[in-house]
Amino acid sequence: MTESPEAANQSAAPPTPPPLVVASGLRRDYQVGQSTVHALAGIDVTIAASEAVAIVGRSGSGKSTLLNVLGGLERPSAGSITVAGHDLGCLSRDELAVYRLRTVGFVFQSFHLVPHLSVLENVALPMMIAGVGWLARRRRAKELLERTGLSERMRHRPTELSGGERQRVAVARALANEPKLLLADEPTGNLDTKTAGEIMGLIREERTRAGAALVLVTHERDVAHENAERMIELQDGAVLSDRPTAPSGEVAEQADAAGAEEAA
Amino acid sequence: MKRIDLIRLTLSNLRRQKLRTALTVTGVIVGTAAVTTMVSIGIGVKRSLIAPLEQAELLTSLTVQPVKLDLGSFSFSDLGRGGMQKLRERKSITDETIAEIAAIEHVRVVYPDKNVPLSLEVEGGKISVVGIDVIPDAAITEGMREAILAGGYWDQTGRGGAVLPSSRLEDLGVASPEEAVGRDAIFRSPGAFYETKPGAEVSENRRRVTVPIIGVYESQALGLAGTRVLLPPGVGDDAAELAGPIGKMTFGGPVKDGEYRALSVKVTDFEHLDEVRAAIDDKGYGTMTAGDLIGVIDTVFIGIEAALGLIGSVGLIVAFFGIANTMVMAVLERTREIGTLKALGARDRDVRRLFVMEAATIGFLGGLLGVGVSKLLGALGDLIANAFFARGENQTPLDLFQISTPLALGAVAFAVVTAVIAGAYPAWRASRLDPVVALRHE
Ligand SMILES: Nc1ncnc2c1ncn2[C@@H]1O[C@H](COP(=O)(O)OP(=O)(O)OP(=O)(O)O)[C@@H](O)[C@H]1O
Ligand SMILES: [Mg+2]
Repeated sequence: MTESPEAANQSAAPPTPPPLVVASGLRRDYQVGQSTVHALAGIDVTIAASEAVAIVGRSGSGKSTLLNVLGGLERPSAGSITVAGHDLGCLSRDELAVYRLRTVGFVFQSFHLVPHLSVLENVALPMMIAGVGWLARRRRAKELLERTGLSERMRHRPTELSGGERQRVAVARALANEPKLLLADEPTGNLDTKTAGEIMGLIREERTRAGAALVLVTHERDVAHENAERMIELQDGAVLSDRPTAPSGEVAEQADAAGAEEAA
Repeated sequence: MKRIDLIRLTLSNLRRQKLRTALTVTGVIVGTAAVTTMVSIGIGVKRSLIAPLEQAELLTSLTVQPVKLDLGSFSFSDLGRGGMQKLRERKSITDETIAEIAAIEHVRVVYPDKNVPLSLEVEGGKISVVGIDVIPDAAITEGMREAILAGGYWDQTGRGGAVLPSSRLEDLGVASPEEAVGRDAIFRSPGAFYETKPGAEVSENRRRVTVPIIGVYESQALGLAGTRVLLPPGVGDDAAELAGPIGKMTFGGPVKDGEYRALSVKVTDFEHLDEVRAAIDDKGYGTMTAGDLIGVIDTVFIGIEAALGLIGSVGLIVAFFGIANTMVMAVLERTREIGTLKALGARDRDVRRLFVMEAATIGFLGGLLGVGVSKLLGALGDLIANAFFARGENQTPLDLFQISTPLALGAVAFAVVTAVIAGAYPAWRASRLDPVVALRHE
């Protein structure tokens, strides 16, 4: 367990644990032909351990890019980002891979299950990469699948499952190595409303049980309100607003109205 | 990732693409079988040349010559001026030399080499050309006595005569060893055979030496020397005279009167061969042993085997491109999967090993089956070769395709290495894929 460098700054206030994510001046540029796209144009954000944060914003505002940088899938172009003590800008390719393996769990919009592996093998895959033995990883994969309600489908191929079932598998897989940070990029984007609700319920439940922080990208404000304590809105790669989601429906509506105004 | 999981994933991936795997493996099978078969022919031919030299009789013998020739480092420049100089400096081999060598410790017997070709007609049989050897009683070894099939040697039968090799009986028109003994053997100069038309009488004005056949020995037991007709001194010397100048030729021209062209020396046992040889070398004579010949054959065959191996490798080069193609396709097809693995935390080297392992497995399977195919081909080839050369009952069957364990292991290793090299670049490409780009791949 590595200690965050920020821990020293907060030593005066012992009850507050060090934040899990600290990003400052975070930029990510893409070179497209002659021009440069600033997908992230200087983001400052701090996320506490076991906090649930929703990221909203219009298409192209940089939500996925931010999530990918948080998850160690992409490197920042400038600025700094530290997750659980790992300075992501400075890690080698291998170290970054180990960071993805040990520290984060990813849930994608399009599931990204390995089609020729069974449901059980898919869930066990991160543990296999981590070098966990056959028996141990199967035991844990079974346990996770039971909790996600898929114990009857363990031997099936992902292609034999419905979208909702596939996403359940993906959630179980994301939790396999007990991540500190769960990242979900529009996990319900390909699902109908009812199924979406079930999946979000599962994510909420499981991440609470695991004690992990959650960063959820969504463009539905309802989903953000229901599943996160805090909502960050991005626009053109910058933070437009960062505020707690109101606990009651009334405040939520107000916030929604405010958000709509801002967007307009 | 654990090695066992790597293997498990590899096998599952190969099984999923059964047809493609089978086709690629077939390429490797063909390549490996080609290399193995080619090299095995080289080894087989070499073995069949060397085997008759590795006979106890030969390994305790050496030949003394008037000049020193280094067979091991022979080169064509020896034929030039320096070589001629060497030939002029030849020693003379006389009865004195025989006495001198006989005095060396561990020398059992020394006698002049009178090995010459002659035509031999067996009474009531046929005429053929044979090599004769004139040997003293002391040169008849235990091994030679054990090899007797019918009759015996002159010192046993008390009668001077010829002892024939079993391998030549058929040519001489004799049905069995027992039938040969007691008949007359008529020796003439070798030319007599060539002027004889089938059925015609041999010209009567040729000189001849007639001796009775007193024994027949098993050719195989004596290896390379197992083709000669053995005669005792006296009648043997008379017969050898028939060959005329052929029997007097040595390096650099004919020998003078009272000189021998070469001597045969038998040592008491193999362990002392080198010692005796050194003693004779010290006296300034040239020496030659079966071992020298084996050495020359070995040297020549290094080149031949390498050339054959190279020809066979063409098949593996083709297989190389087959594997490379298969791996490139596999990487392309599994781009999304690679992206998933990397997003989940697989390191570059995990991905690379996955594909290298896949290529290596293709090479291993192809190599193993290729060696098997080559064994079958070899067995078939030997069958055909033996039928074609119609080997007699008294001769060992040909074993031209020899796939030894080292050759088999080497061939499999070669196939695996070829496959790993073929898979290296696609595997590297896979390992360098950007996970985000790979996940977006359609
Ligand atoms: N690999 C890339 N190369 C070039 N430009 C890119 C790349 N990835 C993202 N971008 C650009 O960066 C900006 C942010 O993209 P991003 O995918 O983060 O948006 P998003 O908020 O997730 O949008 P959506 O809601 O549609 O998923 C966009 O303008 C996009 O075109
Ligand atoms: Mg997106």
